Order: sequence, then C-alpha cells, then structure tokens
Amino acid sequence: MKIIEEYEFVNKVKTLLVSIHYSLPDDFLYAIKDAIKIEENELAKDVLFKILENVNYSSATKLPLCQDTGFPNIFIKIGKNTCFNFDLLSTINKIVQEVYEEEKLRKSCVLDPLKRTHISHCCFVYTEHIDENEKCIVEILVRGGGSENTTFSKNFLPTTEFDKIINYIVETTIEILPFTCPPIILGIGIGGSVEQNMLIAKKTLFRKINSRNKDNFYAEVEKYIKDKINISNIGPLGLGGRTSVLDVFIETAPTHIATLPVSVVLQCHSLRRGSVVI
Amino acid sequence: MKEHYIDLPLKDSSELEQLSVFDKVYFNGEIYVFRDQVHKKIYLGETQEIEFFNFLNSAVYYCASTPKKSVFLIGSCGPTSSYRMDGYTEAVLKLGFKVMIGKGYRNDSVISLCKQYKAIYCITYGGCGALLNKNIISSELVAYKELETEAMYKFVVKNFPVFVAIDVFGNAIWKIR
Repeated sequence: MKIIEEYEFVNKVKTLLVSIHYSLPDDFLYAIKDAIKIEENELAKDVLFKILENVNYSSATKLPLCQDTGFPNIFIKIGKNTCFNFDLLSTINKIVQEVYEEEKLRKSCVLDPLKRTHISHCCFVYTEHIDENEKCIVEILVRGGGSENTTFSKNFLPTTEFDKIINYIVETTIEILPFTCPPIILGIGIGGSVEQNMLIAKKTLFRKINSRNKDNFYAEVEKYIKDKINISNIGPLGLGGRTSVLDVFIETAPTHIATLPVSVVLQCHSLRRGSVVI
Repeated sequence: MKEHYIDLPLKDSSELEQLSVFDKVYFNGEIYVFRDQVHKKIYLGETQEIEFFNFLNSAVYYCASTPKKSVFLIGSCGPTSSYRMDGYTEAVLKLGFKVMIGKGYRNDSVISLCKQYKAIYCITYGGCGALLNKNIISSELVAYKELETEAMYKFVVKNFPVFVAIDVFGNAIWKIR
C-alpha cells in the first residue's frame, strides 16, 4: 500500500502548475519549428517565430505565456493500493489558489455564471482509477476562454455515414478556427455517454504531436482531417498560410445503439499541459 | 509586407486611409484597454464615469492583462477574441474610437461599420501576451474599477505591432483570400 503524503503531492503538483504557465511542451515546440520550415506565407512565418519568441521570453521573465491564464483541468489517475492521507479536492483547490496568487496569474473566472460576480480562480478536477500499482499520475491542462468557446458537439444518428461526420468536423472547424489562436490542435471524441464524449475529446490533447491512434482506420482519419483543414489557408492567427492545425487526435468509446455523439475541442497554440507521477 | 508607424490618438483620422489589409502597423502613444463588460456598459449607456473622456481618434485594445509582476509594470497582455464585441462595436465607434485591436475574425456588421465610421480593425499576436509586455510603457486604471480584471485601462505603448484586418474601405483579410 502506498500512502501519498500531502507535502509530496503539494510540492510536485505546484511545481507542475507553475511551470505550465511559462513553457510549452517539447513535442509542440518541435511541431512549430517543423511548420516554419515548410510554411511559405510570410505573415504566417512571422507569427510562428513570435510564438517561439514568446515562449523564450516567458521562460526568462516568468511573465505568463498568455494573459488568459484560464482554469486548470486536473486529471488525477489513481493506481491500485494507493491512498492519500489528506483531503484530495481541498488540497488541489488550495494549490490552485496559491499558485495563481503567488505567480500573479489573472483571475479569469466568475463564481456565478449569470450574475458574473465574484471574480476569482477556479479549477475542475477529475479522478479515475488505473490498473497500475502504487502510483498516482496528475495531468494538468490549462484552458483559456477562447479555446473553450470554440468547442462544439453534435449527436448524430447512429446510421450516419462516416463521410458526413468527417465533413461536419472539417467544415465546422474551418468556420470556427479564426476565433481562437491558430495554429491549433484538434481533439475529437467519438462515442461514449454525452458527458464522457466531451471529456475524451479534451483528454486527447495530452497525446504527443505526431502520435497516431492505435487503430489504423482512425489514424488515417486523423491525417485526412489535418490535411483538409490545412488547405483552408486560414493559417496562424487567420492571416493565411498552411499552418492552421498542427495535429488531430481522435479517441473513441463504446456507445448506445441509438446514439453517436461527437465532440470537438480546439486547443490554441498556448498548449499549457503537463503531467507528474507521484 | 508593408510597414507603417502611427501615433495614437490619431492627429487626423484620414491617416488610416493609407492602410490596407495585411499591412503591419506599429502603434505609438495611448490606447484604451477594455473588453466584454465595459462594451456592454457603453452599449447600455452606463457611461457617467467616462462622460468627460475624449475618445476622439483613439484606439481600443481588447485585453485584460495579468497583474503587475516583479520588475514589470503590468503582466502578460495579449489580445482576446474580438467577435464577442461585434454587437457593441457601433456604440464604441460612436464615442469617437477609430482603431480596434484584438484577435480573430469579426462579423459582416463590423466590416460595414469600419466603412461607415472610417475605422479599422487590427489583429495582434494572440497567445503572445508575455512578449507584448515589451511594448507597454505604462498602464493606468481609468474607469469601472469594480470590474477588476475587466476594468478600463489606459496603456502608453511603444511600437505595438498589429496587422490590419479590416481597412476603412471595408476590405477584410478573410474576404480577400
């Protein structure tokens, strides 16, 4: 039995949440550098260079990568024979409050969504059990409002032809892409219950760039959607060019015989994600 | 890429006529900074607090920065998505604003308004809030303090970089391509 101590959990998760705001994952930086090599549009190149410059400046100055410091989505994977000697949810909330205050991150949330009152920090926590012994994995994805607002989903008839679903994803993404910050990553969830459907779409964003779905069929669809969107000439910040989406990730889940839910999550180029094993 | 250096507020709004979509502009001088909630207040006429401000030939930047940090005057200060201001844009232009700065596309009504009011809409580097901090010389809270993060600020900027996305003739980057 592994008992996770509060101090260890707090130290590791705090370090992760802080670093997420000042650096981008290596696989993402490589993808931007690769995009610069093949991009021919002058303005697109200019923007891609600025994205790299912004990361360097943020790391050096500890000014947040993006002023929209958003809210962290925190996924906690708990292994077998693992327990906590503290209250998990209140500790996580405390970590988020402390990090956002100490690092001078923007209060980007309101506690009442309609009255728009009580501007503050918030986070969303999901726990799941994994089939591994004596370990806990904490994954964090910080999302801004621009990316959240462009999320879309639809319940298709179970008899819908697959081409129609792909076209819907491609066309809707092209339409909505310029309202976030391209180049983006596209996360697609197919199947599941409705709430799980959105969640699997979001969780695909933890996949490394250029990693493909294990099922060849979906792996091909991922590549197809990426190419289709990149010929749209929207480009970085909508200024034109071939770099609109850096990668497309699809994950699936079993679903009801009457349902076929599809969710699509757009992730802006400020891909603030990371994980830590405790 | 054509480049221009323009002082704000504009001495004469006709200065904008030389600008075409996709041109790069470096702004120098004062810009007002506000977004969703102040737009709504202006639209609803809740403007007693800003009654005596002179917005003629000014620029508005859709932004809510992170708080002041260490040696810096303000924090990270990139643009927010502009489309959310579309429905309130005419109310803001009526106050005298001629330049709007944000990120992303706008609806057709904003294109018509740019033509009608001889105003422009510009895109700056979305998601590059740390880097844009370099272009801010000063920041001052000027109104609607109770909105905290979304209050109205005034920045003095130096060579603040933007791309023209809608020009005074009603051309928009997403209509041309």
